[in-house]
Amino acid sequence: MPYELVLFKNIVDPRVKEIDRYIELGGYKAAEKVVKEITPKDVIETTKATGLRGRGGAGFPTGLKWSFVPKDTGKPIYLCCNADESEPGTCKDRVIIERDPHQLIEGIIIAAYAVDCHLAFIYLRGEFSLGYRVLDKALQEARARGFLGGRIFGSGHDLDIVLHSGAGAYICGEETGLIESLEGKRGHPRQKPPFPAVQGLYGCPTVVNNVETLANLPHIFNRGVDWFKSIGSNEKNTGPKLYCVSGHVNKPAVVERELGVPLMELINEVCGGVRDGNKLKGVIPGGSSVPILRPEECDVRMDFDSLAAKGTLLGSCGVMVMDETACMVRLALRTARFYAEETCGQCTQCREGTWWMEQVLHRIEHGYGKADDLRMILDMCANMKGVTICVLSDACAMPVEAMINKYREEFEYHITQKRCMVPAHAHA
Amino acid sequence: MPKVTINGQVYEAAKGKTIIQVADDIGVQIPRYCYHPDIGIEGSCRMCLVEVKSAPKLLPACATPVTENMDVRTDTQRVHEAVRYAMEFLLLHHPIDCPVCDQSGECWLQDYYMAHAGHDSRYPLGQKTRRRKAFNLGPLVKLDQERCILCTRCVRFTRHVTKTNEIQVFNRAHNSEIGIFEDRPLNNPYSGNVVDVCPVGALTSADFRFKARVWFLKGTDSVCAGCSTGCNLRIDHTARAAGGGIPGYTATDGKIYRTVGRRNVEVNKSWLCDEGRLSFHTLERWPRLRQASVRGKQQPVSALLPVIHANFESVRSDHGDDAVAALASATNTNEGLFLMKKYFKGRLDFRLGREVEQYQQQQDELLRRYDKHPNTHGALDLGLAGGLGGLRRLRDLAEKKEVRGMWISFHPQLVGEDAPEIIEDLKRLIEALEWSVVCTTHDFGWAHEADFLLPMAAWAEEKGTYTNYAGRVQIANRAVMPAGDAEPLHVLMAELLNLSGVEVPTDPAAIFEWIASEVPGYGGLDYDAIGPSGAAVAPVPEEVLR
Ligand SMILES: Cc1cc2nc3c(=O)[nH]c(=O)nc-3n(C[C@H](O)[C@H](O)[C@H](O)COP(=O)(O)O)c2cc1C
Ligand code: SF4
Ligand code: SF4
Ligand code: SF4
Repeated sequence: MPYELVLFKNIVDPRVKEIDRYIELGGYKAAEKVVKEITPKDVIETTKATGLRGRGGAGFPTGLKWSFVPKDTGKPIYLCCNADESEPGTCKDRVIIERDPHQLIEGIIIAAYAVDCHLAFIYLRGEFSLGYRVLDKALQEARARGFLGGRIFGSGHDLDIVLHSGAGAYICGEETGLIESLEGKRGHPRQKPPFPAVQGLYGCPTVVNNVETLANLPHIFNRGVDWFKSIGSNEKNTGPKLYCVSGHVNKPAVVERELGVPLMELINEVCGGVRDGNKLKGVIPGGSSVPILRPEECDVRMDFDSLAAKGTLLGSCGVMVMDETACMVRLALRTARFYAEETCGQCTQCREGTWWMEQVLHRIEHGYGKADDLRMILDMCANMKGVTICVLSDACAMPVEAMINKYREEFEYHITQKRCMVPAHAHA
Repeated sequence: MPKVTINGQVYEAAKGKTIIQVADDIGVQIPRYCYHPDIGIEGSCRMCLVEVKSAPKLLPACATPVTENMDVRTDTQRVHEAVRYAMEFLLLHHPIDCPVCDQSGECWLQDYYMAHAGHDSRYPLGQKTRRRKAFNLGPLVKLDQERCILCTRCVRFTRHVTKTNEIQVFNRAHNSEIGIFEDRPLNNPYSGNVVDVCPVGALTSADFRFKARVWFLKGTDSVCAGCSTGCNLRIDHTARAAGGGIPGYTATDGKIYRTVGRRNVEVNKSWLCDEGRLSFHTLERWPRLRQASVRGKQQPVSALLPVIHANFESVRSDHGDDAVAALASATNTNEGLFLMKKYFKGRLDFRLGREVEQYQQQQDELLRRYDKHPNTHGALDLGLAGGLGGLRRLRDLAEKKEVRGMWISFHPQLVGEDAPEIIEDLKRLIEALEWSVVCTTHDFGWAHEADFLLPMAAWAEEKGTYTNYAGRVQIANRAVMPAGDAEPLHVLMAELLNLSGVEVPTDPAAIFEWIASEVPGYGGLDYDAIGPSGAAVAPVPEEVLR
């Protein structure tokens, strides 16, 4: 049975970003029904029942997260849509934002209603200027229709959405970094607990959800729990999922399939196989922050638990495919460089570790590596994990550690032979 | 009260406290850079990681509140590893210029390296990141960016304590640096505190820099005498006893090199104002009065006191008791003032200007008060604001010849300047008197008009108590010896009282016991009870305050 598109159903329709077309295709029905007919408590319960897990990276059950919001603090409750999508290899939220913005807005309305939020924020990655224009227009349209503003859809619920453009820092995608940035401060993640659900934006209860997570909501309330649960690999990994497949495949693409599509099926059937018939060397399944899989480990379903069993993560679903021409040393260097650039610099281990790691990898890559360097990097990795305020430090250490452990011979070749093992890079 | 176990020992901890607070209370050492009890929690240096049973990750002790039955370990292999690596990361680019670094000897990098790291650097020396060294952030503070470990204590001090926000983190990642905006120097009135809070040699005091190595200095706990707030501080000075001191310096009597804030949550938290911090320099502003003299002729103090006593006696017998009076200073200690009151049978005052009006008035929201005397409250408690009405009235009485002989103790304000009117009035008072003794710390020109001149020990040269604006009695200790023949006021007064036939001790602690037995509010107190952080006396009665 061919996969039936859900999130991307209308993505090829150039007019769906206009509100009329979106409504014509059945849009805003779910939001209207939710705010008029369902109690917030039931919205949370329904969402819990679907098993929907956050698509931002951590895979935390969405309904459960909402249920942590205390209702009796007397403080306003905020919802932040995390649209800072900056994880290398990830470009799925962007497609929704630029092509089907009303799907996202409708999702935000449902989530905001569920947690009793009257002011929501979209924190948009700074570089998304087209996305900004599209969303801004879509928000205006929704306001003009009375879907946003006072008494939305003629119900008793008020809601407005503020669109905020970031300034180009990866760390502002981390939920508490995002909150600090929204407050106008440096994007320095906060020590947790307290979690944002209890003490978030301006010290008030705050829910942070990813774009894709929110985009699932209209479909859930249109088609029901059972339908949603029928998609995916098992009870704990349900629903549709966007995959951003890049690298050495014949047809790199952002595609939608069920959560838990087999990785090799994604590469071979959806994306046309490894480029030029080359041999597969490795796959990073979830964006640059997760450990790489060797070809023999690639017989795996792309869902949270199956990948965890292989020692990696679904992350942001940025699937990066490497064929035999890829140099793992260079990949490790590029990865470390990204985190060395993007660490906010608060925590000792992250600020200094990422930079040091990049420098050591740099010297290995350029033929100046020393015998002890690999042990030193692994040592660093071990001491950068689990000790910092946010997990960016881990996100640098984990993938580099995996690359060294899984392709150690390449690193050693670089150190001893002072050049690359991969013929295409042999000059290096 | 949750029960927490730390390293196997069970403690009762107040609810809401963090692990590090509990550990500090009970004396379990947890290393930290960014956490400071009076600046708050940042959780970024990751030095205070501890193992908590059932928590999968190590937790920052500074940011983790204790909970019932929490089982904390600070001494496991995992904790040691984490701290050792944090130290390695912090020292990667550190210049280690300890030989020329002012912080050396009191540096938290040195201390924690010895205690928790001890590794050999794995970073090539020549490749360390170079940054800007030794430039001014403001008049009092210099920054060496290479030595900074980015704990952000200084940043958060200016953000949360002074709310002036001069110091910021600039740039990101490894390029993060502490700095100021070009047009906004660090010149708030509390700027020196950032030097105290900086755990390393990144922020150093322009005043103290390169003056002395700290291991040659001796610290004496005391109280600032710059205003009525009475901030707690430590005086760092060369030791007066043989065997101490800086080689090559002949500082047998001791010299003050700096003062640093001493924590007292009831008074000043950990802070000092800059004027107070530097107030010891006021003592160097004029030449010291080192010897006693009679109308310009030098005399030993011991020979002079009987003459002074005899003179007061003869004024009294010739013109009646009221012809004798005394003027004290609210920078004198309770002990000095109390004995003075005894000797002058209550005929004394201390008011030079508007002390009584101002001593509780805040000059800003943090510490400073308008009254630049440390002991106005004490003088009031001793009942010295009586019918004599202060300096101006005494001058009038002298001009009307109702008062003929006077003792005038004068200690200059340590912060700011004594008002010119006060000096003018003192001159006129001395001129009008038939006979006068001026007992003072410095060789002031106007004082030479007095018949007798006596050198008096200054702040930091005597031990005694001050009662601050809020009625907290605190001990100021002697750090250095008085100049020349100078003696503390209470010693001079004790000797005069002895001459008049009253047996009086010269030990300030013993004098204080006498105060406690007579002065309302001081009952039950003694130096032990006051201790290093002071004790509250009963509030001043309204009618005294007026
Ligand atoms: C360094 C870092 C960067 C992140 N960047 C993003 C991001 O760009 N977009 C996103 O949705 N979540 C990002 N996350 C995850 C968020 O912290 C958060 O878990 C997520 O937004 C929650 O939404 P969800 O529950 O809907 O997944 C990032 C996390 C980390 C540690
Ligand atoms: S782990 Fe890195 S990015 Fe995260 S708060 Fe610490 S320094 Fe910043
Ligand atoms: S800050 Fe400490 S370790 Fe660094 S140079 Fe100064 S004394 Fe040495
Ligand atoms: S200058 Fe000192 S107090 Fe400020 S961040 Fe650096 S090490 Fe910390």
